[in-house]
Amino acid sequence: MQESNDKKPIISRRRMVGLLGAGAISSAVLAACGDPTATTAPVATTAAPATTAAAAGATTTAAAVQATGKAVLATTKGSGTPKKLVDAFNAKAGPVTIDFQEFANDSQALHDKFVTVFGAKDSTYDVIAADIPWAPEFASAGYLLPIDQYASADFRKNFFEGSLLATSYKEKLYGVPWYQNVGLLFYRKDILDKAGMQPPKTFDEMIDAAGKLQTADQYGYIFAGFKNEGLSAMWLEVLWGFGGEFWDASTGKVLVNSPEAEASLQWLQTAIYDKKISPEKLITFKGPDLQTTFAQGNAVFARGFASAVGDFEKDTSKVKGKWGAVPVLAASGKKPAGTLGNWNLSVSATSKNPAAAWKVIEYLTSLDVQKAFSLGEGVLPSLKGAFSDADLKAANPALAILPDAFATAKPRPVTPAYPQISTEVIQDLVSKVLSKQVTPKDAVKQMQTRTEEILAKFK
Amino acid sequence: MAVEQVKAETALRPYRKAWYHLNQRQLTAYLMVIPAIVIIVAVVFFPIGQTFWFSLHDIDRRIAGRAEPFIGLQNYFDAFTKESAQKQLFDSLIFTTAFAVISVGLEFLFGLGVALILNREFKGRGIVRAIVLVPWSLTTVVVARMWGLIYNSEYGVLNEILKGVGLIKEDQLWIASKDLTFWAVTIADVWKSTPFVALILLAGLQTIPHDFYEAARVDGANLFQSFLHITLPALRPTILVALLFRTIDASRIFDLVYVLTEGGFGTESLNYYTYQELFRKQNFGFGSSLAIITFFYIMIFAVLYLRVLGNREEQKV
Repeated sequence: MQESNDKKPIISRRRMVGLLGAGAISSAVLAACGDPTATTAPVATTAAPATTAAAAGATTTAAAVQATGKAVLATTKGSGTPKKLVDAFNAKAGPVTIDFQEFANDSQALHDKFVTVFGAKDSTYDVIAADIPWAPEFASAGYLLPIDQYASADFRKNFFEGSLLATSYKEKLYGVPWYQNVGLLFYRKDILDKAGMQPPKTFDEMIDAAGKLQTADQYGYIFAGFKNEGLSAMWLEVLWGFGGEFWDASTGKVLVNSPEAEASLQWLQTAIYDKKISPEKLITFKGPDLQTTFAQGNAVFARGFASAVGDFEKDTSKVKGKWGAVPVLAASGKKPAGTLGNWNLSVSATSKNPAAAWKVIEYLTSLDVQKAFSLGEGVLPSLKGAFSDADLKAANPALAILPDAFATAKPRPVTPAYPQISTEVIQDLVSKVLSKQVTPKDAVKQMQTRTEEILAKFK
Repeated sequence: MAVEQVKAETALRPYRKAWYHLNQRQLTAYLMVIPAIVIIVAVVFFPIGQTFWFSLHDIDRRIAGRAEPFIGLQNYFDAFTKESAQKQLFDSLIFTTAFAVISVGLEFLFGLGVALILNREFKGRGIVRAIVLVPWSLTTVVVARMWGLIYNSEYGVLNEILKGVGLIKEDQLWIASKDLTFWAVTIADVWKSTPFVALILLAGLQTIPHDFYEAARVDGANLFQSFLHITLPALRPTILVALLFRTIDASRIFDLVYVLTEGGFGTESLNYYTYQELFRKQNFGFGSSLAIITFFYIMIFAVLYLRVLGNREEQKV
């Protein structure tokens, strides 16, 4: 008895973390064996004190998390940069190593993989790369570990507010942005310069400018109007630009049946059918079609995602060096807000080694790694500090305006019901408005009632 | 009378063996197939059983800790009677059935034509046979992407061709139109699957002895008559196999609409609807009931065909 008490303090930190890890595992096993309704939530709560204990046991600063062992990182493979970054990390031979599990570049397939794996309470993955709407979905399902105890206030300051909002669910943080995307308005600099015009800021200015500048083989203003997730992301920007809101995230009240929302849909119809600055065939445009059309020089203005820059700067692009980008449109007196299209890093609730998982996240969001990743993959960093980097600026001509765009950007409604709301409500009705099957007034009314029905389950 | 029968049966009894009295050979045979049976049960019957079990519960995995009560057949009642769900189910049933019937019908007609041509002797037949198979050998997702480019309203080749020959004046919105999108999906599938039907029918054609045609010619039958009275009847079992395979395949349509139309514009197939419920909404209970409905829906096709095929076999005997 006495002996064991004496021995306790001598347990090495490594051993202690191991023991705590074992504790987390056994509770995970217990949770898995117990009441099925308990699902994975208890695992998350048991893991939290474990890591706090580990932090308290650390001799270094309280904020630094001590971690050893292996963390499994699951992500899409991109064009190979994630693997290189992981190899560089493992080459440092630190206390934590990454087991890299890469998947095809198909976000829906990855989502379905995670749903299957986490649904079965499998503990294979520690860190996952997740598309922006998955954060609330997986958090609510109990698939993710809240990371509040790791993400200090100083750490959070490195990221844009909207980006962290996207990964916060019920006042807990479930992810850190890894790389970012946001809606932008692209314009043909050469054409505007020639006409002596500035890029439009408001919806009315756009109608005028596009109407003036469009020609028989050059559309005025284009956006991706095909009935898929891209349509929801596009329309939400117009809604926000008119000063409308889809819902109040804090109370869960649906606010879409509003004059602003009606005006946003009306504007899209006006642009296509009355002012004819946008072609009717926009309803067949998926994201890549939009980018190709602009890159081929067939449009003056295009609302696309920041990730489109790669397409415009290709050698085969006819607009290389001839385009500019500004934040999206807003009604006069309103603030523009782009839709965020981030990818986040989250820790799985079943992770046996969340401390090591956090080390991986810290590494992937460190400045040098963010830079290498952005350059290698042609994506945008999540770290605010990376936007002033000279190399990144040289690689992406739109980088200068992006901090502004990200500062005002908003996530799509942060609720686990969002995928359902998007497919069954937003995409359905916006698509119908674009092809004039329903009036804007009826559309927002239907959006309101259908969304309320869906959200009733999540109160 | 009855007593006699009983007597007769008792008399027979010594010659019958109880099922568990196996001789060495039979025992070995059963032992040999047991692993296969176990694997089939594990990978086929267990998942089906589990899906059915899920379908009897109210499961929404989006909310952790939510009770998952047993609700009997409620999911099935909802699917067929709840207003919004009913419309979605019937729409997808109608699309899936129309797609299966029309695409398989066209594939059969074209496939038969191709098979008849390929069955003739001509120079370079081997090469042509190989080339014809190319569409079938492509992955459906690739086919969908490719047809997506062909249908593209901005730079697609289909609109250009149709405009060139004067059939249309305006660009048609092939993948986003209530009327055209169904045909866009059907054409892509016919293009991909016709070679499969042709291949099977060709194999069938090659089993028909030449003597039949010679005899027909001697009797003075023309080409059409020999096709109607020799080729078609001799090909019948092969036709049924081809149709059975294709219909089951077509009624499972998923990847083509997933990539080409994302289920929009009236092309939400039964499988796509099921997928949406299961993975987009993590609605495992209701989604499972849709999966089971799909299972029975496809069973109907299979049983119908097997009935026809089975009867044919009996007639022969």
